[in-house]
Amino acid sequence: MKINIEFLNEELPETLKDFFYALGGTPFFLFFLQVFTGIFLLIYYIPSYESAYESVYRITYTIPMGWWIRGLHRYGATLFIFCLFLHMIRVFVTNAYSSPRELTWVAGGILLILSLGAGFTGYSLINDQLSYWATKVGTEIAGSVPLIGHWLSVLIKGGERISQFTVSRLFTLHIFIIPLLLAVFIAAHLLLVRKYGVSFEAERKYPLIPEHLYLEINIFIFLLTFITLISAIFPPELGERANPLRTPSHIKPEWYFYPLYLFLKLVPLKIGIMVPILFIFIFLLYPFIEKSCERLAGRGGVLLLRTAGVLLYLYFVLAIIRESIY
Amino acid sequence: MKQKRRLFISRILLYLAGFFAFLVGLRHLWMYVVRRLKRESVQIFAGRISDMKEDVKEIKFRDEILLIIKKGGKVETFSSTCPHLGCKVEWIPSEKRFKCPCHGAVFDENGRVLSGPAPSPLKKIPTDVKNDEIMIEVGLYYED
Repeated sequence: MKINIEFLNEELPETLKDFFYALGGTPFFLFFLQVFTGIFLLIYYIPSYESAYESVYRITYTIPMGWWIRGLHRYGATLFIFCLFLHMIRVFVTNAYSSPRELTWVAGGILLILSLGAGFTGYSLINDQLSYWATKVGTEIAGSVPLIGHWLSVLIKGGERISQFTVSRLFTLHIFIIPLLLAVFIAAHLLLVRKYGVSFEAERKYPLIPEHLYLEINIFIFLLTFITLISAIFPPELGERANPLRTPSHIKPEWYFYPLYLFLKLVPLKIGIMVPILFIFIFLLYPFIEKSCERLAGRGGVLLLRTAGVLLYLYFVLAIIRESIY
Repeated sequence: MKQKRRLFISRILLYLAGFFAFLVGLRHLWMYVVRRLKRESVQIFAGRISDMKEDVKEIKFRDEILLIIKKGGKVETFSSTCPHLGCKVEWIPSEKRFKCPCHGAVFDENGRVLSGPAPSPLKKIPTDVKNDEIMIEVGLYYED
C-alpha cells in the first residue's frame, strides 16, 4: 500500500506537459479503448470462414451504433500505431534509448511489432477481398522465409489453404495471444521507464496526480472525439466478400505496411523477405548495436548509423505518401 | 566454474540449434521424396479451340483459375497464381500481358517475367490438343 501511495505522489518533469514528450501515454490509453471496443465487437462477430463477413456487415450496417464501435476500433488501431511511430521517432531523435534505457527501447520495439501483428490479424478477420488477399500475401511472405517458411505458413493457416482453421488461428491471435503479450510488454515498458527514468529530466516538476492525470484524460477525450468525428465522416466500410479466385485490381494493405509493400514491389522476393527480418533484429537491438559501433568505429560510426536511421525514416514517409497517392 | 557453466550452456544451445536444423532439413527431404514418388496426373477436357472467342479463356479447377491462351493454332495453359506471393494474375488483352495486381509483376504471353519482383515464370500446365479438344494435364492429388 505504501508503495502505491509513493507511486501516486510521484513528481514528473515539466517537459512531460509537452505532447511531443508524452506520446507514450497516448497509445497506452488507446490500448484500453481497443480492448473495450473489441469486447463490444466480440458480442456480434462470428469467427467463422463462412459467417465472418456477414457478421461484420451486420455490425457495420444493421446494429445500432455498430458503425461507431467498429469505427472506434478501426481508427483507434490506426491512431495507436501512428502514435507508436511518433513516439519511437521522438525517442530516436532525442537519443532517449541510450544507456541505461536500452531495455526500455527493446520492450517498446516489441510493442510496436506486436501492434503491427494486431493490426494484421485484425483486418484479416473481416473476410472481405482486402482481408482475404492480405492474409494470402501475409502467409505467403511467412512461407518464403528460408528453411522454416513452409512450416510457419502451415502453422498460421492451419493447412495448405486459407480456411476455417486460418480464421480460428488469426482470431485467437487477435483477441487473446497478442493482447495478452501487449499487456505484458506494456507493463514491462512502464516498469523499465520507472526504473531507469525518462531521458529529459527538468528542474521544474509537477505531480502525477492530479495534474498529469488530468492532462492525459484531456488528451484521451480529445482523441475519442477525434476518432468519433473521423468515424462519422468516413464510416468504416466493408469491401466485397472474399473471392479466392480473383485478386481485385489495385489491392493494398493498411498504410502501416506500405513501406514493406513498396519494398516487395521493388526488390526480388528473397531480398524482400530477408532484409525486413534483418531490419527487425537491428531495430530491436539498435541501442546495443550503436554502443558496439561506438566502441569499434568511434563517433563516426555512430553518425553513420544514425544517418542510415534518418534515411530509413525518410523512405518510410515517402513510401506511405507514394502508396497513398497512387 | 563460471567459464565451465557458460561453455556448457553454449554447447547445449549449439546442439539444440543443430538438432532443430537437422529436423527441418530431414522434413524438407522427406517431403521432396514423397512428392516425387506420388506424383500422378490425369488429363481433363478444357473446351474446344474453335469455341475460344478471346485470346485467353479462364477455367476453374479446384481452388485455381487456369488460363488457356491461344496463339495462332497453338494453345498453352498457365496457372493464374503469381509465383511471387500467390495473388491471381489477370490477362490484359490490349497489352497482351499478364499482370499481377498485388506487387505489379508482369508476364508475357509465354508466361515469362517481363518486369516486377516475380522470381520465376508462371507455372505452365502441360496441354494437348486432340481434334480441336483442349486437354490439360493436372495432378491427381490436390497439392499437385
